[in-house]
Amino acid sequence: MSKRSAVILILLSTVLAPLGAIGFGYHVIEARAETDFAMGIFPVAVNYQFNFPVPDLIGGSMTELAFRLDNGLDFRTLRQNPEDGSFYACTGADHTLDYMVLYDEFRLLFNQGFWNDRFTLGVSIDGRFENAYESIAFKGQGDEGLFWDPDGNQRFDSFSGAPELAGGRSIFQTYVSAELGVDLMDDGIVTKDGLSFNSFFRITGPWMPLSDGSGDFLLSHNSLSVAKTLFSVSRSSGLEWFSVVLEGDFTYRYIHGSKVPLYVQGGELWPTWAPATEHVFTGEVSATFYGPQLTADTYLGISLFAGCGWSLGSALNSSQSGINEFVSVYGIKAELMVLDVLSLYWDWGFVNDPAFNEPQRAVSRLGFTFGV
Amino acid sequence: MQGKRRSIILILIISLSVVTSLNADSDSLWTEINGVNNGVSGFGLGLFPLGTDFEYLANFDMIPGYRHRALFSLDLSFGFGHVTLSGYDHQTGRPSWIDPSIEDAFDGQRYFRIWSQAVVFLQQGFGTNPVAGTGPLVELRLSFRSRVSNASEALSVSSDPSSSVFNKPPFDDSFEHFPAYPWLEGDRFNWNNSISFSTYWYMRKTTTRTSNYDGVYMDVTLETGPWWLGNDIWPDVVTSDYVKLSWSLTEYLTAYVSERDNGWNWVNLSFGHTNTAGYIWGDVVPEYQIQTDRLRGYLTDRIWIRFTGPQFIATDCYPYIEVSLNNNFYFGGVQNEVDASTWAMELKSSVTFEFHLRLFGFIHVRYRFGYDFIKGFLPDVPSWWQDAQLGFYVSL
Repeated sequence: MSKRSAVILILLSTVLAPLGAIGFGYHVIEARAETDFAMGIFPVAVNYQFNFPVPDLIGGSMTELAFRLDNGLDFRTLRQNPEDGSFYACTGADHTLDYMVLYDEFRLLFNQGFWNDRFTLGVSIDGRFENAYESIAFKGQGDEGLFWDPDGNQRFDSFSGAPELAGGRSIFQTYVSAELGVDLMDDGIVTKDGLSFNSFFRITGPWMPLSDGSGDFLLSHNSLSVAKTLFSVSRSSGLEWFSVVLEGDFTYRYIHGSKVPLYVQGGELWPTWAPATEHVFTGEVSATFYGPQLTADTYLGISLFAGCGWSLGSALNSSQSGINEFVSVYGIKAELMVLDVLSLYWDWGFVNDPAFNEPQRAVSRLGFTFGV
Repeated sequence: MQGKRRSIILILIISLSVVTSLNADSDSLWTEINGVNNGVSGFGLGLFPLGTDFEYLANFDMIPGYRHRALFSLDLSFGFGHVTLSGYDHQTGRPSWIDPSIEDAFDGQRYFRIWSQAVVFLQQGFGTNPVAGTGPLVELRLSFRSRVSNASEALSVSSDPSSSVFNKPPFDDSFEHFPAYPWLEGDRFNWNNSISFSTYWYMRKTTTRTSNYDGVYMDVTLETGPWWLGNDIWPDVVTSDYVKLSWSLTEYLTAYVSERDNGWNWVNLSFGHTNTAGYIWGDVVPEYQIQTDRLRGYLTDRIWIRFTGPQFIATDCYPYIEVSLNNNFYFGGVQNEVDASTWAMELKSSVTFEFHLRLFGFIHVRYRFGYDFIKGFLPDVPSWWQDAQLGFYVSL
């Protein structure tokens, strides 16, 4: 059976199996824009979920069987030399590092909640297509690209440092994933108190069915969020005139593997990055001024934030080892949330301790996201 | 100046969206995903979507106390895919089908296009549908569209750089004007704006639970994308300057209805007939308004017969089969031809067989095949064709 036929069979089984029941659900988790495309005004990616009708196995807690599809464009920066995995921030580069990825990721997932959904366990079978292009700034021969030099020659001969870019710059990987969640957060939209924790595991390798062998890794991504409302002033309508909330978000990511695609490497810490090593810690604390609430889900928020990242161990897709690198940032974020659907944002950040030899710099961005 | 004008346009869109949404009833705002494009071969095994369309709709009272409420919509969509360049001289816009001496080395070459657009409209209904006795007779709609697109290397360029149309003159980075392809001017990043006014006329009634009607429907739209609406990327380069008038008229007749005991349909038989006509004026027509064989005018005639049913599992689960005869007449000058020296007309005729399956109101599977027996400028050799599409249409 060909790969295409096998995928068709899986998808048809997924869609047709629950036809005997009524009550499909469907929602958009998020639509994203990219600041590199039309100032971030127009969407270029969407993540949506089909919920199959299954009864709750435990009273008061949700049982979820769903098919999730994430589709769109992603604009990326290559941090490591594809030929040997060395960090460009150490060695420098004489060409652009930006490129663009067209992707589709699907997940067939099962989640079960416990104790009124305060505790959640989930497993999923996943797959991901990717195809990498030059960035939208690249216009053809004579232009400076990542994959092509101005003479129209391929820039790299091998891709051990970026295995997903080898060959036709195309991958198809399948995975097994598991997720654990704890939700003890009292989230009143503009007031927050408590904590939440999430732990995500994903594994793949050449032994996975249908996979093209371009990925071989074990991922553990763990995140903790804590929040405390310092004070708030309520209106007679029950809405808030304003509130001040102190928040902290912390992650620990561990990856072990010989072929780790860039999308899973993590280490995001806007407006910079923590180098992709085996162990990466990131943390951000913020104080947010919310208000006024125009409706229950329409409000303005302005945050002052400071963050740091710490990378330890061997570099991914590279023989470089013994890395111990610290980065830190601070800045301000402003967001107008409309009906809990549309978010317009403007962010400004300063990288005061960048990775390796990169210079200090300030970055700003303007855009929007929406979801229901 | 250009950037300032675009910023003003975007601020207007966002402000109008926010103000209108806040004034709408909370229970009348919903989200609709009304289409997911089909995947294409070469990516994701050709199985996964490459584009999506979102629409936010809000009802509100524009005329206090009036029986028809106004409708505000913000529609956001995006998509990706390959575009094939056809045979038009890049400097004169003269078509190779009228002048075989034109050797267009780029005929059949491809590029990769990203596009995304926002459409906002305000709509108000008036009168009463005389056939149904309910709903408006006419709806008036004022729309604004802002669309961005970018052309870049094609998918296959990774294995063969010479296959990229942008690795060869004239579309490499040497600056040159391309009147026939205004969307490939400059950095090939395009931002076009247009406005339109439409009227929709309803003189029909619903006859079954499976989208069958008796009566007549008509619409007329006047659309323009002038240079002064943010469509000039440099003082001497305009990427859009056109006016388009279009019209359609459809007559429906439900001939036979058979129902089960529970009111669901066994099978329906209906007929329909549609005429459309349109013409586009202007020196610079953007990519999304390029018409068949670039001729400015069209007049079409379509007659169909449809078998619908049975409904199964749920009221919104049913198949239908449609057979149609299509005659399309194209005429006029050639869009984006600099000296406007060409005037031509052609006829294309086909018979089309379609199979549709709707499931649970949000899955729509379509398979169709057809037989083209008159092919216009193409060699008049009748041929069969087929395609398939899977779409999702959801209201929340």
